[in-house]
Amino acid sequence: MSLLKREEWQHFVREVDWTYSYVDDEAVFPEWHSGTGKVPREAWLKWEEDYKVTYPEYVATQRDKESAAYAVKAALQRSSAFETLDEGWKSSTKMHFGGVALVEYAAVLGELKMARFGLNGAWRNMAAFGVLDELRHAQITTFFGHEFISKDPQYDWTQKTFHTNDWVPISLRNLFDGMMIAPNVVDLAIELPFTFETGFTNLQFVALSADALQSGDVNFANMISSIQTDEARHSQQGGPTMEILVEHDPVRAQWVIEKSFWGSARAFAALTGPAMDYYTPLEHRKQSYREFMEEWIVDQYIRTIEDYGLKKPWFWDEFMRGLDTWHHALHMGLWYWRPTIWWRPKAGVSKDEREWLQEKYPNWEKVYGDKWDVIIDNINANNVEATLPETLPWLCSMCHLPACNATQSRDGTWRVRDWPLNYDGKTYHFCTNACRQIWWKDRDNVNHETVIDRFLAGQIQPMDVGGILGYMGLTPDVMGDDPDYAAWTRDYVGRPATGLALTSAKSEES
Amino acid sequence: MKLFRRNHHQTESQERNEVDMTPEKTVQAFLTAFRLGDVESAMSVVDSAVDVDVFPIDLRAGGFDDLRGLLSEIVAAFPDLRLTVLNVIPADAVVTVELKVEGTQARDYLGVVNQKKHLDLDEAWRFTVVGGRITAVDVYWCQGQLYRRLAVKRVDQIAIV
Amino acid sequence: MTTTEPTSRSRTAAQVVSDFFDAYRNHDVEAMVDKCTDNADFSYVPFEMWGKQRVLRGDGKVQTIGKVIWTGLINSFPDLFNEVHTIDANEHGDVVVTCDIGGTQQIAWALAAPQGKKFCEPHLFIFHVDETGLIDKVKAYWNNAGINTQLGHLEVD
Repeated sequence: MSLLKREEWQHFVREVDWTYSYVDDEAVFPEWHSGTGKVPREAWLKWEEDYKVTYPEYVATQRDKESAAYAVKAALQRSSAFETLDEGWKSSTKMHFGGVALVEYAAVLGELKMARFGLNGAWRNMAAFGVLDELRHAQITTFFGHEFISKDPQYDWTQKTFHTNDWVPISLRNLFDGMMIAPNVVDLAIELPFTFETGFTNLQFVALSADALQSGDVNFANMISSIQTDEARHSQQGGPTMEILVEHDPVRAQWVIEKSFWGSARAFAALTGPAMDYYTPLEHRKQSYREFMEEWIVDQYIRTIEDYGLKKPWFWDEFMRGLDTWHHALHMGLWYWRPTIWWRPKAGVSKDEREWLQEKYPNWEKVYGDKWDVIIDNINANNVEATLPETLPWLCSMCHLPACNATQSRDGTWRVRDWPLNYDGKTYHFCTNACRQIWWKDRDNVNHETVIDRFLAGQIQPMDVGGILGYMGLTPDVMGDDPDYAAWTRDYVGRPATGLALTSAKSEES
Repeated sequence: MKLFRRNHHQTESQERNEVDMTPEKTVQAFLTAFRLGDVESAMSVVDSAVDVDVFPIDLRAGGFDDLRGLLSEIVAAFPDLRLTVLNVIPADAVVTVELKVEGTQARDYLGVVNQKKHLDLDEAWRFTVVGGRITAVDVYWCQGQLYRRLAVKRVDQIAIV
Repeated sequence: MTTTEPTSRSRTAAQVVSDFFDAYRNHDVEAMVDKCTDNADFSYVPFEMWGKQRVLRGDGKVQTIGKVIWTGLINSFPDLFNEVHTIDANEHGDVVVTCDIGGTQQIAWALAAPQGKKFCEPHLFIFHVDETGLIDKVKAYWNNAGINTQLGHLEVD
């Protein structure tokens, strides 16, 4: 007896929809989870992935990938490669491990939801592979980060981050719960595989992989590449779902993609922006964050929405303007509130670095230069104390990131603006117009308290910086600090100082 | 077999009708008149001592005039009123009716400013019928749904749009 | 006043529904669900969550939507109670219940933030009990604006 050829049997295992006799379709695919909405149920029969994978093929490929990644790791574990890595690069990896390891686990739950409630057998089949992928990503990311705990306790936050009430994971939990845990599977497929994985994960993974190689971190580059090859496969759940949704309910398709694009863009400005434009050593930078976003996100996004006949989002101008400001402000915030993060943020504002920033962002000196000058002068006057936080920044009720975006007024001045909204007797504050608009349209975040809300409600005790750090789970051995103050302040030693904190400190001393 | 206790207020002719009038038929008569916008005919099968609860407008232990007032207001505010009976559940003296009420707002209604919005509201009316007359009515609908459809933003500012 | 004898079908149906409310009063969601068929229909008419492109309605099955809503309510209102006023059943297995449901809010419920406030609101439930004595339909009406007002949530959405 000869074996059947793949094409002769694959449709049997791909298309496993059958007719139910004991229960009806709503019982098996409840609207809350399956979310067909205005799309006729039978429309999902057309769902088809671009390329098909069988379980034996999947297992064989994954086995090879795992062997390769772990073999490199084993080889490098015996070398002293880690000790030679730049602190800025290490910070990027700490941020990545902590910010990503458990998001991969959340993605397992998202894929499981699609594997159960996806409206077509082939879709559920693809999602089952997606589950296995994400499980592997959660494991490999946790395992690779875990290796360094003995060398640096900040790596312990690889696994710990998402179990804390630090403001960064609260923001990320908020984003990814909304993207992976809460939505019905149609929205989920648009938000996660379509918008986030096809768009943004590319940026994080391709860029980080390149940066890792530049920085000499072969192990990390290898891990990232190993993960990225899976994304290409399971992210194809997004395309066929999008095609069907656009055909029957383009307004919903437009809204879901816009909402998840915006949320992803905010998170990336906080995590990828500073890593690319400040933490990566100058000699290793190939592109600015803005250039990278333009090439990998903007162009691709515009192509995608045109392909599907959708409109440019209403927030497009605000998003494009934000490429020049968001991540610079967030970087300054991360640096200033450095005790609240689990990596060592490099300020990265030496003269050479500032020249590079000014070249890439023509308004950089005007908007951010003078603030850094105050910080620099205080550092050079041995007044590091004045550069440490005593209060909390206001956090946006939508993205939960600091509301610190400067926009240019008509008179040419740059000011950090607040977008407030009164709702149910309370005033909410937002970092951007689009965050406010998205919050208002869906109200998904109405009962999600920011760290500020919690602080003001007395949930954080004692109500001081020590109490806040304790609430966030930060211990002295992991609190972030600049790894090398001299690296970016020595260029300015001896210049006339104008920082206010310096003046008052000096006069009090004399 | 249903047995009816004689109501001493009733005339001989009403008494004759009652034998044929099941509680369900009484309610149908009420609804048919209501559907046609004929409030007085609808009220003709309602007992003068009727006990009326209209929970969404916080009317508890109201009477005949309250019910007539409500029907009149609905009919006047929605001249193109469409009443669809979705389900009638008779259970002895109690008849429960599920209704869909549709119409376009044409004047202020229950304090809501007229914005010519379309109303589309599922309601449940629970009638008690004794001796061929409606002696109690409990009315349920969600005022939140009504406000949403009539474009009211806040429950404490229903006249501000 | 009607004085017909209740049939055994209507007696059984009324009893099952009464047991259902006892289980609800005991916060025993599993027991509530056990009184329903696997495929029992569920509809909480006033339950509507309006997002920009999504309206989440309280429609579906007891096993999928009903269970979620009941569990959520008990979580958000740990002292959730019901007081049944009337149970009327007929020989077709239809059961109509009037009751008050209420409780004190501890956790956010839908768009209402917890302010520790209490609510108590009249509800009308319509059940259908099949010939085997299991509930195969649960439907309810009430005024959500009434609940939200009592909880201090004054926005319509």
